[in-house]
Amino acid sequence: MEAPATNNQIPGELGIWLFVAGDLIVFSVFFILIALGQKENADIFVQSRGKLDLWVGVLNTLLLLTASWFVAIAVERCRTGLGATASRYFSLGILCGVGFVANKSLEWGSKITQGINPATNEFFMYFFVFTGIHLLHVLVGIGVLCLLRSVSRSPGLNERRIRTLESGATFWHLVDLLWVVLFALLYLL
Amino acid sequence: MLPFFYMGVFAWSGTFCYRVSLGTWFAWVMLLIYYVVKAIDRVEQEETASAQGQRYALTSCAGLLRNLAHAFGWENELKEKNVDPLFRKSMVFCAWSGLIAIVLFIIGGVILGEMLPPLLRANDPPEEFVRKVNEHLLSIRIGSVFLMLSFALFGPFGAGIAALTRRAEKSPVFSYVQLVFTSCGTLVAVLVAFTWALMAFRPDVYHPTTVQMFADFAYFLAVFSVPVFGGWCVVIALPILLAEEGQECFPRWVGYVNLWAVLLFAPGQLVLFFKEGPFSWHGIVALWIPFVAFFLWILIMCLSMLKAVKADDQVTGP
Repeated sequence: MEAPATNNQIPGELGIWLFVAGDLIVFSVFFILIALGQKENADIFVQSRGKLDLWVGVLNTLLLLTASWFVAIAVERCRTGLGATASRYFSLGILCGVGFVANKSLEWGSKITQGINPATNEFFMYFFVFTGIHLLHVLVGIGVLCLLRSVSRSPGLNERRIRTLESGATFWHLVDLLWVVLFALLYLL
Repeated sequence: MLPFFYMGVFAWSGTFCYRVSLGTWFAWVMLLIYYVVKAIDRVEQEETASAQGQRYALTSCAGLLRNLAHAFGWENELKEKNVDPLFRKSMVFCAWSGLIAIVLFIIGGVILGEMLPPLLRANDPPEEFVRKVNEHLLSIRIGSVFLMLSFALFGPFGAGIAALTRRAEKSPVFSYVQLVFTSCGTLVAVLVAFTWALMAFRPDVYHPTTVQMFADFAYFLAVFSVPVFGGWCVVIALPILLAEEGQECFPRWVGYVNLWAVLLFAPGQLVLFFKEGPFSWHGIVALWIPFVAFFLWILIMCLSMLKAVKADDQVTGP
């Protein structure tokens, strides 16, 4: 028997794409706010950006990209009927996510011990609030991945469960995408 | 397309008055959302129809039986037992309560009460609060009356959603939790109108910092109350997303819209930490996004409620 063709369908559910679009709209507002701040206080932004550790950001980006890669492999395995080996890849994805959270808290901790906090200036206000909101997304995403891990372990992977897996994975990729843009705007520009 | 034309003309004429124009734009966005919701619904229906078609026609034996039942008209008979004309009318009442709440908020909060394009700013000195409130005393007072009416209608709105959820549950749990959140949310919202009215009661007699505190209090009740309104959205989303296929009380995308709404309310909690910039209670992230999202959420839920009972109607029809 051949697996049913899913080419003409979107991965996951319609609803999750609605959620993704909505979240992107909100984050676009955040990105515009950063851009406006950059235009108004260019000096403060350039100066403050110099105080960030670029390599911490690079490490976080790599962690999230790797996590997305693991999740994509896991979903692909579930689709092709190799669900038994998929949960291991979800675990690796979760591990990368936890690594991101740990790295982020170390970064925040070191900033706060240096006396830098959201009240320091406009740049650090945006830095702490937006990476904080993103961190919340990562924490929710780790929860979603744990859920997907248990779903992938269930014996009968029917079409509905595959859709759940795809929807959850889509959310995780969204978290990744948002970080890539935030990384560019806050660390690189 | 005609409504768009009217709204456009109205919005243009409204440019003579800033507040009326804003109110009109608010209504315009709502209308746009209405069309988007209708379009999404159509896509969803087509998708489920094709999926069901495949499942019933090709694969499953149960589908064949169901098609047979449908052919003999048994299915209609089965469903007719659950039909309750009073339920439908009650649900239309609840949905319209929500819609009227939006209209009354536009009148009371946007045009008259000057709450949404914020008249006051979190970093103004107390004397500035008194001056501004005195300047707009009458319109704030009339606006508060409309605000009170608007927020009191959250009760029937929430109870309607809970009743629809209850219908899809065998043992009611989420519908009860929804009722708790509905009453709590209504209470918090009504207090917003109370404090807004008290602020304009005797601003000359109160100490200026008291007037300032009433304004702070109103905005804190409205946007700092994330767990109340966010929790409400979560307990609406969960029974939809956890339901067995075909047993959902609302379409699944409505569940995701509710989760999205939680996300939009969340930045409201930042108002405690900032007095200026986009995260203070007059800023875009902490005030505008949660407020607009909240009324869009009411609109989408009301339209879904009307849609849900309309489907009932078709079952009973010939």
